Amino acid sequence: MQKSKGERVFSVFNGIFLLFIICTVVFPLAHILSISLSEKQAIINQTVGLLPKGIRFDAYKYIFLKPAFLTSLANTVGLTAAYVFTFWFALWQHMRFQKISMENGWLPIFLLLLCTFQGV
Amino acid sequence: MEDVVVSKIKAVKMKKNRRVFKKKRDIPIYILLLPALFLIIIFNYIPMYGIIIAFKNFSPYKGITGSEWRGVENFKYFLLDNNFWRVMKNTIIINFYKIIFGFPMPIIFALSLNELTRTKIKKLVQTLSYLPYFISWVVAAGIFIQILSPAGGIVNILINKIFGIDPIYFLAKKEYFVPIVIISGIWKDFGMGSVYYLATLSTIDPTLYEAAKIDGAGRWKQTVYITLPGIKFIAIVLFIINIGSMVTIGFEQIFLLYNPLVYDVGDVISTYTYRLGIEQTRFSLTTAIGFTQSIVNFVLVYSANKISKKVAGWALW
Repeated sequence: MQKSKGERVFSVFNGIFLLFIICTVVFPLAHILSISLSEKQAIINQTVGLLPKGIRFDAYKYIFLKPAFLTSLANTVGLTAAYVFTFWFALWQHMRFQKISMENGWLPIFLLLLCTFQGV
Repeated sequence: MEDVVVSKIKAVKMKKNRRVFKKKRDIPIYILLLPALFLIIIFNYIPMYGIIIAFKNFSPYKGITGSEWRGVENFKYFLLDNNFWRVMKNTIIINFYKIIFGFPMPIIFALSLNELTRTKIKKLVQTLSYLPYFISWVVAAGIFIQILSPAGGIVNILINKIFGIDPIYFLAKKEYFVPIVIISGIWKDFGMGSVYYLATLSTIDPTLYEAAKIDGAGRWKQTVYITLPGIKFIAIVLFIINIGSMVTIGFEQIFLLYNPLVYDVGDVISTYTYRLGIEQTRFSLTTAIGFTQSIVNFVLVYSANKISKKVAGWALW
């Protein structure tokens, strides 16, 4: 397929736009991840950037050995699974009876329901 | 000609058939409905009984029925209170900007992502974009507080290097607080919001694009005449839902970002009721505020739906 000049210019700008957005998302998250892995002294001195200084899993060990954390994790996962299953089953039955398929615009509705009730 | 008439009569008959209640067919379906109905009654309608404490002077020792009636005193109190109108104004201003800037953002992102030709990159960008949605506001607020902090925050370092100004304490300045709330809100939710649009975009019939290409329509024309009408439906649904929470703002975001210095612009209804209800234990007053909030939201959703029916010819109900 031949691309016109305007389209080529557009796709370059489009790529830059998306790259910018992804940078704003990835850098803060990478920073948080590296803080969670760094040594305490490096965090206090604020020298941790995008890469962790001196990898340590102490924080992760601490939370995963706490029974309270594991209980809350199990509850969260269980609730979400219950919602997903309920909606998926209800929608599946509905589509089976009405003889429609996911492709007919029901996928976004399904996602919408799921995300609305996830926070319940 | 006769065939058309016959099929029309059949269609009318079928329509009539649907309305009629058939014992054998319908009773099992109603039974299937019961559990969901009970769930809604137990968790959504029975708790509404508690609303009567808005008209009482509620005290936890006397219970809901034991507390004495106060009529509309509670409503009078907050409707005549300047603080309430201040937080109401703040809530509406923040939500207004949130809709103006936050609502189109997922659409723009989805459309721009849709223009990428390589599926692998598309998938990667999409996955990365909704990562922030899954981290909690506590962590997200922590990130924003850190990058905006006057002591070593990246934004202040950049400003200092480029313009040579002293560090600014963004979160303590009234003029910056609302933009920070809007931007952090967009940052957290745009990815998830665009999922709805991307899912809808994938359902648009590709033959429409091919036909448009043959007719000589460029990418821009294709977007305007095929893609945008294709996502109109889901955009209206999301817009009506957004309007429905016009006087409600998620509590966590504001609560974690604000401080007494920016109460003038940043204090919203949810944080105000939190301080009144939990810190000062005035449950009746806060219930009255919540009740009013629900009524306003209901009216807004209803009118948004009506307007959408008139303007776009399609509405939620």
